[in-house]
Amino acid sequence: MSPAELERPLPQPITPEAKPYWDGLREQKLMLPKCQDCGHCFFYPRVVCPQCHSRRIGWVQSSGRGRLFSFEISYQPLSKAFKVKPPYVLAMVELEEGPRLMSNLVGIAPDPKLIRCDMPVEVVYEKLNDEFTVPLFKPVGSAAAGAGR
Amino acid sequence: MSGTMKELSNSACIVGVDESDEIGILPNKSQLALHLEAITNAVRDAGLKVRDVDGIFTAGQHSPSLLGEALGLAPRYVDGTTVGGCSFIMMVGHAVAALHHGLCDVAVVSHGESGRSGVGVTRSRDTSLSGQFEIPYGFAGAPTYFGMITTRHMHEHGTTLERATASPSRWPTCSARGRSAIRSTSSTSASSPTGAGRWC
Repeated sequence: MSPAELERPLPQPITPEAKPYWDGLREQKLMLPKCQDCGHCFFYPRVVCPQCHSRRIGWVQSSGRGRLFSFEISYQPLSKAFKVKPPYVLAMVELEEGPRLMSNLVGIAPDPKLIRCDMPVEVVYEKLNDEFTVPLFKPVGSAAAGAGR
Repeated sequence: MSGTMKELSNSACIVGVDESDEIGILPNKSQLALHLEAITNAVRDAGLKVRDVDGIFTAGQHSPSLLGEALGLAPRYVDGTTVGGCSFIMMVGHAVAALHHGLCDVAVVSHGESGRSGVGVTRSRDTSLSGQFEIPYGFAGAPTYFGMITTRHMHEHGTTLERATASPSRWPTCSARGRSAIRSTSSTSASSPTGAGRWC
């Protein structure tokens, strides 16, 4: 990770129902809420299953693998609090377990000719401080070949 | 009372009422959690299922669409009119009107606020979802969201930027995969596949 990528706003304010998510990331585990009644895995963390509305929510560890559902390359910083040097890749990742989450695609040049929707990705962890680690994603397999950044 | 208002009288009824699981000083519950507890409890009180709800009414810090998303619902009708503390009372009136006119069949009016503990609140706004799950990655406003939708649409449907936007003449035309056409060469091009100037 480049030092510039440490210049992210810390996640805040933290909600109680998201605490297991942040606790997991600190140990480099991507934890996902999963309904204990219908088995639906979802994101973001909340107290009710969005599929069957059960309140029995448990947690499972994600494989960390997924696909790049969509992306956008930012050439200008659009938030003063976000100091990662542009260009960088805003990413929506769909995990193998089903949920989609927002992140950044790293480990590849921010070149729209190289990045494709549905390319396979996997999680990499970026520690921000002792309390917070965030999940970023990098290409894997053939998509990663020659990516080099 | 006008004839039109009178027509609403007795046209709908309140079939379930409830609160979040606890009321009081609750530093361990987000505002969204209070909403979701209250809604699921009220729906149970009514003998219905959350899936039956097709009208969502709330005001203030949370939009009805956020509640719909959190519950996995795509409501037929939403109302987020905010006129201060009486919003939720006024919303009951709005719900009656919507029900009367068949805009929805089951309306839920909900309020969730961590007024004492301020869980998830910065500067009087609930910023907990964007603050935890979007802002740390650089998402900030329309230019960073619309492009995500556009990219996926281009990928799935072969949509070109020319077809996707209203003012193609201002921008170079992109092929479905030609996102490279809009690059940092233009001072107003903030992002690819779209530019900030397209949205605002």
